[in-house]
Amino acid sequence: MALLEIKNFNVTYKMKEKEVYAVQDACLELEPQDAIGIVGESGSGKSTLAMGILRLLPRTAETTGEALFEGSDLMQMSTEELSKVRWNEIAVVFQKSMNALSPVHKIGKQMEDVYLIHKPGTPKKAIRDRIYELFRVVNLSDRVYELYPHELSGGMMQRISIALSLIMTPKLLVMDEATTALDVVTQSQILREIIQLQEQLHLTRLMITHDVSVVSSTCNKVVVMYAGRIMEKGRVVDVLVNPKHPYTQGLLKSFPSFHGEKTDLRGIPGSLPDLSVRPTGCVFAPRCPYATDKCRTQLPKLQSAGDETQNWQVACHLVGGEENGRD
Amino acid sequence: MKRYIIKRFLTGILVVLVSVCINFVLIRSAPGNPVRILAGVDNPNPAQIEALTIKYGLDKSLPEQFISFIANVCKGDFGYSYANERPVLELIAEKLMPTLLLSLAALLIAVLFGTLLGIRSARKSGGVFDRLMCTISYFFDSTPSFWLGLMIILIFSSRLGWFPTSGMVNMRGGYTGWRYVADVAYHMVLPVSTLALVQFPYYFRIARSSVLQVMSEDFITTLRATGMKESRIFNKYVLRNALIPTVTVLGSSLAFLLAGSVYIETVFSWPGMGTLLFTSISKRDYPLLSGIYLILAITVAAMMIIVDLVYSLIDPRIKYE
Amino acid sequence: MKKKMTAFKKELGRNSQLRTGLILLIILLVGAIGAPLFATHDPFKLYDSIRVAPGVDGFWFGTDNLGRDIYSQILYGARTSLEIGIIAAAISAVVGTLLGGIAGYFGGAVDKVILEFINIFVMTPSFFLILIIVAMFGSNIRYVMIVIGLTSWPGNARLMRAQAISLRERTFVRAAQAMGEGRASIMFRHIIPNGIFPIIANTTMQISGAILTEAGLSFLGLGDPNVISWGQMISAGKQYLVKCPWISAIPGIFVVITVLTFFMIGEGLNRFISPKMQSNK
Repeated sequence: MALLEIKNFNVTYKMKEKEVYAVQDACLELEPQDAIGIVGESGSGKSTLAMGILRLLPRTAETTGEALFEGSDLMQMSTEELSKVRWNEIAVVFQKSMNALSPVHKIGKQMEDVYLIHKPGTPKKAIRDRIYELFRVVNLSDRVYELYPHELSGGMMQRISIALSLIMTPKLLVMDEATTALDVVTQSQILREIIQLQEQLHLTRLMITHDVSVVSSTCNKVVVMYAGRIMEKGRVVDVLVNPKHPYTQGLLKSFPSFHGEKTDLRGIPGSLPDLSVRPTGCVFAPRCPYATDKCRTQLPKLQSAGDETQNWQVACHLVGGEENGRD
Repeated sequence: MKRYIIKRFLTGILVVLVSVCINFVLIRSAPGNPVRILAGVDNPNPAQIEALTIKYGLDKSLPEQFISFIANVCKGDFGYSYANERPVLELIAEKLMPTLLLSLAALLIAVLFGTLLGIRSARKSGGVFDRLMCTISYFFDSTPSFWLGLMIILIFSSRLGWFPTSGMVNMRGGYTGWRYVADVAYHMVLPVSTLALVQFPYYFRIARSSVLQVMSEDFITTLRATGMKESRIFNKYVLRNALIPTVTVLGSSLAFLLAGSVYIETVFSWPGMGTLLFTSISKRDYPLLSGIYLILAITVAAMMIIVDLVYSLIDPRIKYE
Repeated sequence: MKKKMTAFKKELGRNSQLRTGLILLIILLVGAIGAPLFATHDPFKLYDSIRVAPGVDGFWFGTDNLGRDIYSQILYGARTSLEIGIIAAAISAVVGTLLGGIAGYFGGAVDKVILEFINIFVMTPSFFLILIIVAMFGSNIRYVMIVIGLTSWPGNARLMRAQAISLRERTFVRAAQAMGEGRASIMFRHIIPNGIFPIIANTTMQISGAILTEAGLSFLGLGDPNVISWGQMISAGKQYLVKCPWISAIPGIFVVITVLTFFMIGEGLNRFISPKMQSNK
């Protein structure tokens, strides 16, 4: 059974004057110990999707669809049920780790508080030992316990966020642009640590990033999102090596090659479409160099590409598949 | 930290010195001669005027007068009131307590209610309660305290007869002990309510907007994601963060409060510093005026420094070098 | 500029506070400017009908203890309140903008000195300074305006300083510097025009404060005896509060409305500047 199964997931922001369709019809499966990367430009809905399944979106956001965690739907859970799953089973490392903790409470105390939510009545000493253990895991010294968030650097706070996320040994770890704000050296160091941790703790990881290189170096599967829709998903070795969707191709071209070869460093011309308008055809059609009339009028569905074992899906009329086939 | 305290303390002394300096020069350069007022305007006796001038040191130059004033203040001697024929410090000490009683009681109520209502408003911002409270706070913020005082007297004292119109205690009552305390408290109800009503919007708005601001911070999302109960997030994390601005404005609020109490004392005939200040202005009682101003400047500066230090204790982000 | 005007018009449609405030302001201005036209009586004249209740004998708001027509006095009093409020706030805005702009843009020692000066000013009980100055030097309306203006600038100075500090790092200011434009010229042509908006909003609020201060001084008997002031009118009714409450009540209501008007405009402008506050609402 999949650890997390997202089915027909939609997020709509209801504004005064308009509705913004931030995520549309997202389907996704996470098998235990997968490491899935969701990539896309900012505004592609990747963070909204993750926050949506965790039910952390503001009240203006309306979600529909299912998010089955070990078979039970996170969307239908009561507040009590949900708070048992939160952090015990699913933990998050947030984007802006500098502000991830309260600025006027000591770091150790806040972590202690989180521990006590799920294991109330644990002796202080035991919690403290657990926190020190986590500090060692993320290479921080014990004295951090007594410090306040502003006394640490961005990289150190990132480690704190990771340590905090591991405190209950969750099954699923969601990392929302968790390393984006860091410098390259710190970033690669932390990413290496995360991969090690994943092996030790048998974590399943959902990584949200706009940086394709992070996905290629730390994940085994990848989901490409654009304008709230999934464009292509599959194994990293397939999708990022031999991308089939024109958008994935463009996205990869806008990053320098991993092997250091000089390639054509061009972005994709045009910009994100207005998300408050439901497109009639493929959302990428206005920017797609290969767009046909069919692309502009008919919505392409995610279709299998490649063979059964690859589990590679592409939403493009130009790529093979029974329905979306070229005609 | 130590250096910071010393620095703040020195700034405080500087502030007091500067304001006293301005005030001293202003008072002495103003038109109107106190000796003439004392000697009586109708039949000025030149010999008497000269004697009084020498007695109060008014024949010396301004800098000389200023230096001797400061020297005396350092010795604890604030001078001698011409008009009242009593030491300035004694007069002030007598009137300071009623004013502080009035102001601090009002401050306590205004901060308490303003903050609580602000927090309540912010929890359901945009709701009926919030909109109602915002309107009410706007209204009282725009209301002159003295006019509100008059209207309150009109309704609760003259029409309904629930509370006394003026004064601090019933002179004919001759109360002692707890009866006296109760009578003062009874007399305090209307003036304190008036002062608290015009002050509370300030604390209401600060509490409301800082709670709203803190609730939109990233760490609130983190805490939600950990499965922490909303009530605990609010009571432990939001409040601690949101109350910091309220503490920081407490320092500057004393000056406003004392200003407000001048009006309230006038309206309710409260025997405090406001009344004293007023008579000293009309009689051009220089030593008394300087004394009052000095006491006020010291009190306000001290309050600000204390609040600054408290602020550095409750907000770990503030580190003074 | 035209773009800004359309944005402003759009904002007026959404921002009910700003809209109500501006409508009230127009009514107040029309009333104050057109006072001689709208007045039914001579505001200074002592009529024989003393302490007449509102509506009686053609006195819409009644008469005061000396037989003056309250309605006509209200109209002329609006002139005093608006004049004092606007001029005092303008003085505060000019002083605050200049000092704050210099401190923020020039930085270094200049900034330190001005900042310390601001701190000292903030820590002095300015209300008592106003009280003493007005009491000592006489209650001419000009004194009152100037003194209120000169004691209320530190807030504006702090705002402008913060603006200047952030603006001086911006590309267009750097470019002007690189092109050899003088410091004073940069300050007046780039820093102040681009950073002025929060000061405008704050100054609008200060008009409210100045009107309240003037009313208070007049109430304490420190107002200009040669002009009609709402504060003096409230004070005049003090003795007759029980039998003739309208003498004090009516001018007070007008103070509240006028102060509220400027609060609403200021708050509305603030919301216009930082739309984040709007989403909180």
